[in-house]
Amino acid sequence: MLFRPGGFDPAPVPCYTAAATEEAASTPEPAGAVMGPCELKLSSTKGGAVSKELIEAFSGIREEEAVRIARDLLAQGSDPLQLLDDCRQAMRIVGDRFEAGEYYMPELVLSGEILRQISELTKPLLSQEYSPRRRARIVFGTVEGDIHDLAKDIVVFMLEVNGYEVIDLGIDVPPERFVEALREAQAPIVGMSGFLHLASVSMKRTVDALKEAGLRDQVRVMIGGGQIDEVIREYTGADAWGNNAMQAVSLANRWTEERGHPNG
Amino acid sequence: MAEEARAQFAARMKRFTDTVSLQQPDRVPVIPWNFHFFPAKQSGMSSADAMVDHGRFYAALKDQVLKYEFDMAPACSVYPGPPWEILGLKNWKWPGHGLADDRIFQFVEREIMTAEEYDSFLADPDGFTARVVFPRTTSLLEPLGMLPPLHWYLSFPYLLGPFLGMPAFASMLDGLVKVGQEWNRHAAASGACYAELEVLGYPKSYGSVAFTGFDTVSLWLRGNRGTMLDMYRQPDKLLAATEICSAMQTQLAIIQCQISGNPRVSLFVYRGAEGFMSDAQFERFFWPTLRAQVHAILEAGCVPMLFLEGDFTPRLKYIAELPRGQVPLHFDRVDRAQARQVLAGRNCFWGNIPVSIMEHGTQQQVEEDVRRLIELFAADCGLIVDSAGCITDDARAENVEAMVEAVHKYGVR
Repeated sequence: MLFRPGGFDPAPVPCYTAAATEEAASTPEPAGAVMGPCELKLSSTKGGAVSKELIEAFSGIREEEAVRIARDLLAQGSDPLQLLDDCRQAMRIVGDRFEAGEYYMPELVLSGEILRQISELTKPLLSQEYSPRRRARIVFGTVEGDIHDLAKDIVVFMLEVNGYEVIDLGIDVPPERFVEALREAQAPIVGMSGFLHLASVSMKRTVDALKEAGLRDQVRVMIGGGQIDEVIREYTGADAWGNNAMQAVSLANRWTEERGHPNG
Repeated sequence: MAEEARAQFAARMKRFTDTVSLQQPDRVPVIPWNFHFFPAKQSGMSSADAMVDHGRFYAALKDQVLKYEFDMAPACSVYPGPPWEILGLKNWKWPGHGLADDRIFQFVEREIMTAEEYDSFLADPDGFTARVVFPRTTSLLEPLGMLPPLHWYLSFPYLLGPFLGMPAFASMLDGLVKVGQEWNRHAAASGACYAELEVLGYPKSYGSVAFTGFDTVSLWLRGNRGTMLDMYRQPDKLLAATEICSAMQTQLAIIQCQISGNPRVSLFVYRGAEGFMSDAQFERFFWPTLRAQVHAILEAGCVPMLFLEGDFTPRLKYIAELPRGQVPLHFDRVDRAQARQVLAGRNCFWGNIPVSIMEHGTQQQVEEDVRRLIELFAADCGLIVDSAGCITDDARAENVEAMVEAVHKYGVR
């Protein structure tokens, strides 16, 4: 029960209100929580007509309208896979607008939220899960000692929208976890994010750990965050640095093409 | 000695006020905005010790001020650990409490107020803070969630008995007494340090801290994601909360100035930075209340000093609207050429020496950067030299020395 100013409750019972979000308040948000679950499960157009209306509403961040259109389409028997394909196209437009400086963080958050709701609607109607073809795998995380995830989530979002499979290790990631994940995923690229000043030390430790593990020659390292610049890049031994999500995408594109895997 | 110190104090204050009011000072001032754990590191203390051993930490802070002879004693952002521990803060991690002893405390951002609770907050911010926010952010104050509306018992306070008689309430009170004792222990060490520095001729950089309205809602209530969703889903409520929080923070800023006797307010500005929102969103959700705060603080006879974290280049056009010669602006990252163009003849430029150079660069790089800053800003805008953000914990001592020396070398009129 919530204390309602101006409204009297007849009985003097405790007005304990914390429990409602107690769990939320004591549990850190999972990695990717800022943007919501933005992974797209589908890659190819599946029969049925493309809904321009849905794509426009979604990419225009008209949340209610986009979800309503999706619900109507499904009610009319539209192919849920086609619907998700349309969502993917809308997400690309959102990414392009973010890159162009037309959209900012609120639009990314909202588009993640629209996608989540439409995905929920399609779930009961999907008989199989599709894995999209990806350009490359990228291991990404906020470095040890740093628990900031805002910037990381934006970069992960933009990399995924641009066709990369991102293994998001979350926050406060120790060097050995990066090494382990790179080995497991056989990923050619690793991205490290850090907001705090101390992040540069952890980034250097992680690059050193890659060297010790014999992985350094096989992996390109990008770093980014509030105080990252060329001086820090040199100090850490990373290959490149950036201070926005699009620089991360450009780097990933360049490195993937250099490896000879354009578009997977 | 005392007379000389008094003269030094007056000279330092004049240097600062001349710079802020766009008069030419005798020398460019060098003032770190605040200190985190830099003094602790320099004296070989761990971060964990610095949050507990207040006497030793503040002695280290004093040593740093005297060593570099800054033009003001930086305020301190190392918080006392014991009150945090007794309160059981849920949205912070600190050394020994979720983090290693050599780490610094970190804020763990969460949604504290749900999207549906705006009306409750707006109708009764104080009641909501006590009954909802505090129980969600601290373990100790969880029993406050059971506190009935006090107006139920305005005639018969003894009817609060069922609440007051709860064992949980009694143990909460015990804890609060300890929080108060720990607060006093820290305040005594901190107060003695700055009083001593003042006698030695060093004014404190600021005596009051406040946040912007939008940041208050975003950081302490809804979380970044929450405010971003609210911009689209319930913009009017977000605006109403931003306005009320802005007014409350302004009131707090002015009261703190009155209590401390120091008119300088550190107004922290975070989520108006580049990347967080568009210009249109900044104009609607951030700027009007920030501008109002600046004006209200000035009207109260205090000095609003803006600590702009992140890249504020896109917002320079708004910052240009602030009253001339009264609002020092501390920059983290900004396009210096654009800043110079916008700020010339308006307000003084503070900070912006890259942390990367302070931590990993050479003394020559620091000297060169200070020289560039002086060339760009000292004549037309006014300049106060400092690192971007603050002198970070891992800044190299020789680079701090180089920063101060460069000011004496290039910044004397």
